[in-house]
Amino acid sequence: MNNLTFGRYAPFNTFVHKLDPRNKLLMMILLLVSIFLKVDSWSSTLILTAFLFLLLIAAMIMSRVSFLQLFKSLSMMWFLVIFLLLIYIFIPNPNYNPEHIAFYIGSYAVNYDAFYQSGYIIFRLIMMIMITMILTATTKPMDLTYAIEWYLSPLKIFKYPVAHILAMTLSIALRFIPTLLDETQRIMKAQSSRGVDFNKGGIFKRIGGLVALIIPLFVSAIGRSEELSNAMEARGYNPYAKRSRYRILKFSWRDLIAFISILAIFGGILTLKIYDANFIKIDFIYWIFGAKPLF
Amino acid sequence: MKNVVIKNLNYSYNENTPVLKNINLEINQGEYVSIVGQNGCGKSTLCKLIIGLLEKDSGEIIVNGLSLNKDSIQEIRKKVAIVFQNPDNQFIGATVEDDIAFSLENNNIPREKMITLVKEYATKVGMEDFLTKEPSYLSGGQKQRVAIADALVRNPEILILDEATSMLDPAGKQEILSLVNKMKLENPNLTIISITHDIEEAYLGDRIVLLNEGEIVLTCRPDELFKNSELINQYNLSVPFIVQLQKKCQELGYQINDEDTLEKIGEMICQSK
Ligand SMILES: Nc1ncnc2c1ncn2[C@@H]1O[C@H](COP(=O)(O)OP(=O)(O)O)[C@@H](O)[C@H]1O
Ligand SMILES: [Mg+2]
Repeated sequence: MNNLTFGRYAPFNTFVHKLDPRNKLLMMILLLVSIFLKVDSWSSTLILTAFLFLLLIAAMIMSRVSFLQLFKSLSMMWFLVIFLLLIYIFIPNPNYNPEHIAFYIGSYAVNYDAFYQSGYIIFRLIMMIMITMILTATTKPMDLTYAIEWYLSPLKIFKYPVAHILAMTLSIALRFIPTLLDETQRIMKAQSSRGVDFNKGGIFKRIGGLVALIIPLFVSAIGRSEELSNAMEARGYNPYAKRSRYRILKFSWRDLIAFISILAIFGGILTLKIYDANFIKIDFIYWIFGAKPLF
Repeated sequence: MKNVVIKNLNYSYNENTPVLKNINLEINQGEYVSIVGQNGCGKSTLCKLIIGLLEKDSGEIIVNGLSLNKDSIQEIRKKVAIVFQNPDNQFIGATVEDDIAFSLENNNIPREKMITLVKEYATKVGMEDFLTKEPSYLSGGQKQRVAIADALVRNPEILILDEATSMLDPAGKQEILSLVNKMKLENPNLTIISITHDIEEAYLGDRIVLLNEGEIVLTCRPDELFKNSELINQYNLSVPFIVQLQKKCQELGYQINDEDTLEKIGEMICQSK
């Protein structure tokens, strides 16, 4: 269960923690889009990516997100790295510069651009992970549901409290994750004591073990949901009635500063993209390696 | 004043197996009634009928002068609060304060008032230092204390405890029982209906209602029931420790009255030697 610590909320009190979750969600989307905007020349793209990467590192330090956790979650990506490399090396691509030859495998020319391309994708993925980590480490899950509810609130025009029901469902799901994890462990212990081994045996035996876990878990979850709905109803819950709110979201001066900064960055990148501004046109690979085969 | 009146109530989940048969019960304002009976005799079903979570087959339920039906159900639910058995499955908010606030949000209480009420009731149940804690950091007893705060913050006239202590350890159970006692002292008009398996707990009430296979077989004062060994054997009840002690001491020749508390009996035994 330990790898579930990825993206856990870390209760610090930094600038980023204090931001409005609605704002954070919006900024996250802007940053994600920025990352996936590709400027035409590779050299400009490289510089922009490096800039965004440094920005995210700064944001991680600022919001006290643990780098250790980032490395842990990245260590699961090696499989993807190999997979991408193989694809980019062995699927011929007319966009590769034929002069950028790294080495030959037999008579097959391996292009530097393949490394560049796959590296670029991996790098963007790492940045995506960083962004989500910053968001989830600095925002309580419940605050995120409030933010989502706020963004969905225009759906009120349908006279059906879609946003509220969705947010309530989401928040109850979040609330019950730890409870169900405890339950899973209890059931695993109970089944182990009856001789089910979850870690040994062939595929069929393991599937059998999984069934012995999942069925009791479902039965208990369904029982819980019935009791939960009883408890909610008994406490007067009615999604269609007018309800007051205990939690309110506040957009403060901090949010304004953060949002304007991110918007400026996004706007800058977008402008570069639209005007095709290849502000630097250096053939990095040629420059560094002289683009001669290494071997 | 009669707080709860139940007349000729019948209920069944499946058509051919009646769960409650012709229940008649009247409960006065401020009364503390314990409902006892074996597992599956229909105690929880009775509670769910009173707060309208289940719909009766026939008969009538009157709460605070209002007959329970589709129109009056929301009004009645404002007056009746219930604490269920499982501490986890009635914790709805993300944190203690959110959970207490949930009851208030449902009643559309303005936010400023909510903030003071949440603090006030968390303090009443001794959870004021845990306001921002999530349920996974709380013990069972603490969660049930929050559940009692959830119930009382709506200022109900009737509090139903459906085996609220049965999943707790002895310390947690004591916590809840003394809390209920305190609430009762603070608000003598609060009617309490306590469903319990625990005979010691039933003994705390003003009156015991004994349910067996969906029928009320007896209502009486707690001490009357436990002196009657015939009934005890017939319904497989266990006798509270205090009654067992009194009986034993009487057999041994001590001058003991039925009202004597544990402390008094202890003192008497110590002095006699
Ligand atoms: N949802 C249900 N559907 C069908 N039968 C039920 C349901 N809930 C309870 N029962 C049955 O009704 C009877 C009374 O249950 P319950 O009121 O929960 O008993 P108690 O609380 O006294 O232990 C039991 O025989 C039980 O099996
Ligand atoms: Mg029950």
